[in-house]
Amino acid sequence: MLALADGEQHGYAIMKGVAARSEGTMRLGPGTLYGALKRLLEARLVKEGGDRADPERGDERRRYYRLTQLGLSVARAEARRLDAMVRAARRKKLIGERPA
Amino acid sequence: MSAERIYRLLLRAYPSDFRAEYGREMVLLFRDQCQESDVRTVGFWAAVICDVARSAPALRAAAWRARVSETTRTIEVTMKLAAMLTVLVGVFGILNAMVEWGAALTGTIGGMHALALVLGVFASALLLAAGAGILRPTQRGRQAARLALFASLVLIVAARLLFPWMSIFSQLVGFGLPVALLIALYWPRKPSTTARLGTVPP
Repeated sequence: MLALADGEQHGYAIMKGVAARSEGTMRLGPGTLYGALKRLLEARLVKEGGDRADPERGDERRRYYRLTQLGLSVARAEARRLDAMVRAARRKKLIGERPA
Repeated sequence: MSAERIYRLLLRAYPSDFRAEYGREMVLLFRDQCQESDVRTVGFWAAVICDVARSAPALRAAAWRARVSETTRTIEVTMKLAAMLTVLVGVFGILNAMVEWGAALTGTIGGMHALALVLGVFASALLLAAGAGILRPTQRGRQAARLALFASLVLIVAARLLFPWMSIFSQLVGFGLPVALLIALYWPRKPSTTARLGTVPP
């Protein structure tokens, strides 16, 4: 969901975004990615944005996905929850200080 | 055999409706991966097979759960209709036993026959109660219906033993209906049809 926070993306862009954001530790295969997208679509957190060719790649038409209003709210709530947990862990010195 | 062709074969591990919806996109994504990786390495194929082995069984299980859920919904509708039928059969059974009792009073009625008629009335009343219980969408209603159906079945068996000249139709309704309803009431159901979200990547 974080990968879609910037706007509409197709599958490959989402995969690249996840790999870049996790510094290469998380690499999604097509099955895992589209399985997750299917669940998010069913939960109405994500919706399809139509098919079109990627101007950067200029090849076949690809299906684009974007967050719904509900998806954006859920992503924000989850980010706030995680932020609160990280701050709590930092206060308890479970993790280091935020780098300058 | 090209890498893409091998991947198309691996896609058969996924449920057919999932393949129909996302198969083309998955092949496109795989093609992108092939352009950026060396497809001749073991590591590349290990990652591909790992992805299929991890995601395909989960999607097949989800598709199976969805089918079970659909079956459960069909059973719920059938149960409502069966409950209404049970109420009607219960009312009809009580009326029938009373009419038979009235007809028997004009002639002579044996003690066993009278007892069988009384048991028939009680069995019909219990069927009526079971129908009403099933129509209540609560766990307590279902539990009461189960008890009423068991009791009705016991009474019908007793009536049949006391008065063996019970009609074939009465026996079919008296035994068949409670047994069918008990099977349906004990059929496993999903507690909720709420979509379950798995782990969603960041």
